[in-house]
Amino acid sequence: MTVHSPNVREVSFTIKPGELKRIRTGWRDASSKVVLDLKNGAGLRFDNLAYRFE
Amino acid sequence: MNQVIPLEFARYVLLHPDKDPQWREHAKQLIEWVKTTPKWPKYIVHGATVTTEQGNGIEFCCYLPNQCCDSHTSRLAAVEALYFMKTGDEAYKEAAFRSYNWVTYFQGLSAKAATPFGPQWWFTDEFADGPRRMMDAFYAVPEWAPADETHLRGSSSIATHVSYGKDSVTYSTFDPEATDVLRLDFVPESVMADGRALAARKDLNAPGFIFDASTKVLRVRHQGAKSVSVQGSGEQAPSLYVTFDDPHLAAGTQLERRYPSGIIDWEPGAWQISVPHGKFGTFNLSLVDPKAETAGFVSTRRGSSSGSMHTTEVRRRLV
Repeated sequence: MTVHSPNVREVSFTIKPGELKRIRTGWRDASSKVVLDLKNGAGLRFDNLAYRFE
Repeated sequence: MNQVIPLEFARYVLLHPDKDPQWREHAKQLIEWVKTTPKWPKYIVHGATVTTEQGNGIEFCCYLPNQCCDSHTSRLAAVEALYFMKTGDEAYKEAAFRSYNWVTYFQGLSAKAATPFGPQWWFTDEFADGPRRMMDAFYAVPEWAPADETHLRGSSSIATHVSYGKDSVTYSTFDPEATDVLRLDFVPESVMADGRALAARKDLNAPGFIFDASTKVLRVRHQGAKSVSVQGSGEQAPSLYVTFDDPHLAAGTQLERRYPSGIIDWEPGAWQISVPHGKFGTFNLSLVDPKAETAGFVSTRRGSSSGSMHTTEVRRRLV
C-alpha cells in the first residue's frame, strides 16, 4: 500500500495476511487530499485514523 | 499458592510505605519469591520473566508461560517498576521493561491472548488487570509514555478530574495533599494549585514542582489544594481520531460523503463501515470493492488556514 498526497512525501507499507500493524505516515506538512494505492487489498481493514489539523 | 497476593501486597507497601517500615525489604523479598518459587513454572524470553498465576508444585494454572498470563506478568513488571520508582534500583527498571515488552504482545485483541475468541474468556488479562498494571509503568517511569502527548501519569492520591488543552492541563485530586506525575508535550510556564503559583524546586520536600526538560516529566507536590493547572507553550495540536464507531453507522453503510460530519469527505462508493472482525474489536473501515487499486479521502475542515490536516497514523489489517 502506498499513501500519497500532493506536496508531501509518499510512504509505502507491506502488510502480511492476518497482520495487524500500526502505520505512520510521518507527515508534518498539512495536506487536504489522501490517496491510497493498493495491491492485493482484498480484506484490508482500517481503524482509528489519527490526524492533526494545521 | 499464587503470585497475586504477594505482588499486590508488595505494590501496596510500595505505594504506601508509611504502612510498613520494612516496605523496601518486604517488596524485594516478595518479588524475588514470585520469580523463584518452584510452585509454578516461569519462562524467560529475551530477559523478560513471564509468570503464570499459581500452582502447588505439581499442578499449575493456567497455561504454560508464554501461552498466557499477561496480566500476571504485567503485575510483576508493575511491582518491579514501582520498586525502581521508590529505590532508584536500575536493575528493577530493566526487568520491568523487558516483561512489559512481552506483555504488549498479549494486550487488546491480540491473536496470542486469551481473548473472547480464545478457549477461555479471560477478559482481565487483556482488558482489566493487564492494562491497569501497564498504567503503573507510566507512573513509575513516565519517560516510557509517548513523548508527543500530555498525560497525567499518576498521583499519590486519586485523580477526580483531568482536562487537556493545547499547552495546558488541569486536574484535581481527591486529597488536598498529593504528589503527581505528568509527562508533557509542552514546556510549563506556570503551575498553579487552587490559583496559587507553585515554585520550581530541586526536590519535593515542600510544595512545588520539578520539571525535567530532557524528558518533559513534571512532578508536582501540592498541599491544601486539590486543583492544579499547568500552563505552558510549544505543544503540537493534539491528535484527533476517526474510530468508525462514533457516530455509529450500520455495518455495510457506504461512506458517500462526509463522515464524521465536517471532518472527512470520503470518495463515493469506495469505502464502507465493517463489523468488528479478527483483531479489530470495534467497527472499522474497509473497501467496497475488494479488488480496488486506489481509494481516497479529503479533509473537509473549514476555517483553518489551508483546510487541511496531517494524517499521522492508520491502523490496518489485511485478512
